[in-house]
Amino acid sequence: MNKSIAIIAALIAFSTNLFAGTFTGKVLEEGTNEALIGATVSLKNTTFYAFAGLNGDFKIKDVPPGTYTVVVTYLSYSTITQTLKIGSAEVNKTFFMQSETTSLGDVRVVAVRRGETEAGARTEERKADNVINIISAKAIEISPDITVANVVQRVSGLTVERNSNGDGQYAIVRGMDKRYNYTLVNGIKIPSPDNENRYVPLDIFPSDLLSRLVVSKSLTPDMEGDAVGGVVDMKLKEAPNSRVFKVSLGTGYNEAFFNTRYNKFSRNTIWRTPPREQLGKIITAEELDYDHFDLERVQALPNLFASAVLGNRFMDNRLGVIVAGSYQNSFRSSERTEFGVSENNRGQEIPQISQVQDRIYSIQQNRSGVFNKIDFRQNNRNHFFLTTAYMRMQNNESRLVEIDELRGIVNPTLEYNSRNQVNIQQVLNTTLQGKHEIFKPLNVDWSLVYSYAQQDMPDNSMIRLVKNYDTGEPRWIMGENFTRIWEANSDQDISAYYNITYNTAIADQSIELKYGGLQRIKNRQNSYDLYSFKPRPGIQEYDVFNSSLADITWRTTGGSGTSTHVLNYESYENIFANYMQFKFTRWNTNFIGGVRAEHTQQGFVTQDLNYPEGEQVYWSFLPSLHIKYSPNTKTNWRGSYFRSISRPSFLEIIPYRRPFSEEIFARAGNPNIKHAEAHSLDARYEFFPKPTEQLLVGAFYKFINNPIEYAVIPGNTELNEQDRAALMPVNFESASNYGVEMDYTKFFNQFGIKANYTFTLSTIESMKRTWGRVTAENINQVSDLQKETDNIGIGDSTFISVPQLRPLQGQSMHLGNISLLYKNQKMGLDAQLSMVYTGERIAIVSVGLDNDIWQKAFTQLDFSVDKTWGKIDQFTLFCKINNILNSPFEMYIKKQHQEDFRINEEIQPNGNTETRMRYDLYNRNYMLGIRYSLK
Amino acid sequence: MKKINLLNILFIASAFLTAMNFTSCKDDDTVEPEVEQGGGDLSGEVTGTLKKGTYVIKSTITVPVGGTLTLEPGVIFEFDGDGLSPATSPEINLLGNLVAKGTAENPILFTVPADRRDPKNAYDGLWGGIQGSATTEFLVLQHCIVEYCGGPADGNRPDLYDAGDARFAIHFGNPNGTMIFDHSILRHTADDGLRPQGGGKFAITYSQFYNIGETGGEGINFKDGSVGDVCYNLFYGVATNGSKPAGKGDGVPQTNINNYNNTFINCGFRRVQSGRGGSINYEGGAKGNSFNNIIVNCRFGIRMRGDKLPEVANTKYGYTMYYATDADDKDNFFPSTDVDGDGNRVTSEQPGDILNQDPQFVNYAVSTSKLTAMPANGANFKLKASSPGKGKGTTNVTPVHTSLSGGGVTVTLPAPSADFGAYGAE
Repeated sequence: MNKSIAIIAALIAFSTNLFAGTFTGKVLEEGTNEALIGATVSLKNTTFYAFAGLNGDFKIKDVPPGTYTVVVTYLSYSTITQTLKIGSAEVNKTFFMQSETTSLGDVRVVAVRRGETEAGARTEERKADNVINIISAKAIEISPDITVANVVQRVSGLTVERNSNGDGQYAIVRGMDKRYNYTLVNGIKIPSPDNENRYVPLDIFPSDLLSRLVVSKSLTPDMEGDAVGGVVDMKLKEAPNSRVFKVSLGTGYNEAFFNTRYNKFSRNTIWRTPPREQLGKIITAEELDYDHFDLERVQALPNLFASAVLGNRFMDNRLGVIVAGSYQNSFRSSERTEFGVSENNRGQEIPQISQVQDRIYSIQQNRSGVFNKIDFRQNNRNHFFLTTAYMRMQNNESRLVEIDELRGIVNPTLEYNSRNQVNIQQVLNTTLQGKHEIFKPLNVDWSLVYSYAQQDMPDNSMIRLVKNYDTGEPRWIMGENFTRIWEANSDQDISAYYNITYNTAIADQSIELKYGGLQRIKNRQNSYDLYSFKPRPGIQEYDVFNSSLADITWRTTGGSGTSTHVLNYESYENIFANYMQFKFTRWNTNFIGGVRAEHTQQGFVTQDLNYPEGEQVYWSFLPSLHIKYSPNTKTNWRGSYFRSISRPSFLEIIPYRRPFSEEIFARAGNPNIKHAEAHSLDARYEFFPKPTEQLLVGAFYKFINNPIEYAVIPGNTELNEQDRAALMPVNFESASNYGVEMDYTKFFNQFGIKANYTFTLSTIESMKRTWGRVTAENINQVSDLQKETDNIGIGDSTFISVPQLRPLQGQSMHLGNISLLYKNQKMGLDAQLSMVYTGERIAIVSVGLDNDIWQKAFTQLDFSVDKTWGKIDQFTLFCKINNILNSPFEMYIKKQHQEDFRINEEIQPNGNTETRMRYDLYNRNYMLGIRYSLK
Repeated sequence: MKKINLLNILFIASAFLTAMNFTSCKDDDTVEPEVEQGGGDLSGEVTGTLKKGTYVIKSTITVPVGGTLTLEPGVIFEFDGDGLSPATSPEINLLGNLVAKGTAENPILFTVPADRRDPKNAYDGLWGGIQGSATTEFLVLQHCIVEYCGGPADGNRPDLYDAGDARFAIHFGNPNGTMIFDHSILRHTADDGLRPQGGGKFAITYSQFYNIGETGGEGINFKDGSVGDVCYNLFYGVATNGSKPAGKGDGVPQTNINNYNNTFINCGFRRVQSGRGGSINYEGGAKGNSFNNIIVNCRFGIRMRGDKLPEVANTKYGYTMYYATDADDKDNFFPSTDVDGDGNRVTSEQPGDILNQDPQFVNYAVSTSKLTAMPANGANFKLKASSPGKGKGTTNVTPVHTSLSGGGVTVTLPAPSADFGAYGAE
């Protein structure tokens, strides 16, 4: 009914344009007269509304004359409702809004799209109990970023580790590797679909489902205690106050496809589950399908991006529902040059280039997410929430690698391999929450959570071809072994959280006491099934684009699968945690602190009889204290201390071993590895001159005991009982990490600037190998085995272990972000140019002295622009350009390489001073789309 | 069915004969009366002494840590495998020790059931081989034949194999252990013949390695920690190298292998990759001495891998007899694939080398196709009296070990002979 009236009104408005009025004005904060950018001014029961611009101005045009109820709303300010007569003349009115009383962190029962706006985000940062940074939905919408991972790198002190197509994937917080951070959805920890690790790949989350992204850099007792760097919390959208309908449709293209083709493979013949499960017997090569190994060069299709949000409130606003969906299908191509080096050959201190690889990736990324949240207010004292989120990402990747082993000038050894890989990751999370006011000062809230994460890599196989010169013309020959692997893993978490809040007074001091806990039962399954075949006859020619794999004949050498492989394991982790927390305010200072106790029971059961099972059980006591001094409403001084842990991954405690046939060292697990423990200190000055502006200056110091790093452990030692050296996760003695960070946001009329900078230094001492002469001083660094069986003594040359200080892996000294914003309210224009600078950092820790592989400093520039139009600004045209500079991603060793093995200067330009290890170009991405929003 | 059996028996018989022909041993004693004293099925853990007889093995047998399995002359192990999966290609899982001391008349066989003993199954890896471990103190094979092995691995021995990899016919992996391979034959394997991945002390003497590896694989692929001697052996039709002392540059102890008085024929031609070697190949920080070898129709002569050098200063070679019928192979007596920074070949002609002269074997034509993987029956690789290699070698070579002992067997390393090759001269 209202709708038809609105439409009629709009029609009348349109047809009687001449007589329509205009309603303009300003929205300011009472007392300070500062603009409240983003405040909504709407005419009740009509479709007319406007947002206040950078200086608080708003304008509603073409309003049919009449009497209206004006509603002015703004997050954390009291809503203004006024009756107003609008005639044919322009009506101008200024609204002064009152800030809601800033009661500290009360359980806000109906969270009203908090933080979707920039001002909301700043308010939440200002009011937070701990050190946090927030990126609002609005900022994400107008930014160039389409996945959460790319959003994350805009936060001060955060960088991302990239996947093979250049997209961010994992967050590194203040130089602390991904293992030291965890990921939440709406405050609930989610399991990872990754097959080895606990950290969640952020690129599976489409950014348009977010209401905001909150990064906590310090932990309060009511937060889970296993983050040393920080916590990334993806707050999904909340049910709106009134009906919301938004759709967005976009398309795009990767620049690479202007001049190259997309290497496509069919996925129809891929067996989704292992042959062993399907046939229940030893299989032979003839029974399998081969079509999906064949490649075809095609013109890439345009990308497709679509999302929709639908939300409303019913039953006198007591029931709110929101449903959101997102679908992204994109095609990418990237090129990489990679080098193999032999480091530390006997007596050879400097690396020697032994291999060059040219890689071409064609990637189809199909990302979808659905999410639903229902909130129900039974009465003012009881509220319930049901959230369901499901994310799925499928990566279809064709990788072509040409390898030159540089074995001399005559008949070089060339290898060509082609891998078509389908990787499907899924995450499901269902949370039922309740919030209850039992009696006035006592509140209880609880959550029951079921989460599921899964990864599938069916028929992950690689065709290896070898160039053979032995008879006449060089030919590409099918390699010796052809293995087809089915790998899958899944995590299932069942958790219960509860919190009890009690407000009381002790000696006239009002204080909030909070007690709560968590119980989580996690089960993880990993399966690994490998089948192997040999070409028979041994020499068969093959061409990746012109041959069909079905025409190759095989002898089956491994037809039974590998059900007893150690990577067929189940692991579990049961976490039981309780905390006590207090909070009070005195002398303009907010004190929050307490202690958290976490009990961990982590173990595994494998199918391998050599390593049937293992378990670790321990308690962790994690105190913390956070102090916030607020001399006025715009300024905070913060100081905090917290203690936290970082647990080994599920695989790391399994005594597995991966072969070293392709690498120098075997990889192995370590059942003796302990969790790391860290102490973190934080200080931050915060100044919020205006609701959307801020200046944050902070410093942090972290000291980590037993940090987990990878090191080469010689054989026949306590840690590594096998007789070969292995690369294993081990506890180092300690590491420290400290730095300063700055975050600045400022608007000048139509322009804005957002900038942040983080300076970080960290040190860890690790043992490196070097070839040298044994002396009386270093004889104790020579292993007993060497002394015994090789008769190594003083004066002999051998490998000596040398301690070396280095920064933590993944830590950049300099990190910077700068975004220039342009907003023209009248033209409905939003534009943003964003730059991320990631200073050089160690990408891979090497076992050799001074041989660590560094990632060069990386600058990424992205641009986006939104243009809104339509009578009620219901349409938005948007355009995003990513990676404008097409910045190369480069890894290198800070050492020259051996002169005898110098190669083409174009691909290895600075051989005198450095050794390039990897060079990637990801190409520019263009995206164009339209959003429609109905209010 | 009977027919095939008969043919196979004939084949085995001929193999025995060739085996005996090859050896320089000249015993003509009458064959002892055939008395079956043992036999039956074997499974699970096995130790103790097995008497002459045929033993059928359907699933992997294990010699436990500290245990020793002793085989008497005439023992035949028949591994009932098909090579289609790890479980259906059983092996000897040697956590303890093995002493197989056959005689020329009553050799010990590690083979498959008679109906499968056909060289057309040579690369099928029908059974898993003898898989030594770090706890193996000694592995002694004297007058033995090991054949038709190299079945796929299951992935639970990750230091050695990826799942699905062909297992090495014999693996030895204890740098402090001893392996003796004397007067024995290793043939018809899917991949490497002998692979000491974990090192060991070796005496490889008076033996034959042929038809090794389908499209890759070495006769002996020494890795870090291997120390010993390879002398008086024939390497024939090996896919890649006959003898390859290698390392990864981090070995403890350093690989140190002497190759002297061996004969290499037709090696290096069954290789998917080019340029990987064809007779003797030192690389990756290994060292050793190579003298008095005959290299005929091999893909490469003695090689020092240019991009992964051995310890050049302590890798000596010379007094080598090179012959090839093919111009390409002549050009690779000093491998063209391995060059230094100035583009010069890493290896070069050494004192005592004899190039392009027919070594004049007693019964073997050097014009035989280089792709032939097995020597014909009756072939004799002893040098004729008129051979240019007779008496032209050096005796100035010292074996790494003077003698090696294990399981009650002692082998004294033979002195080098001035007659080139493995079988001396008339």
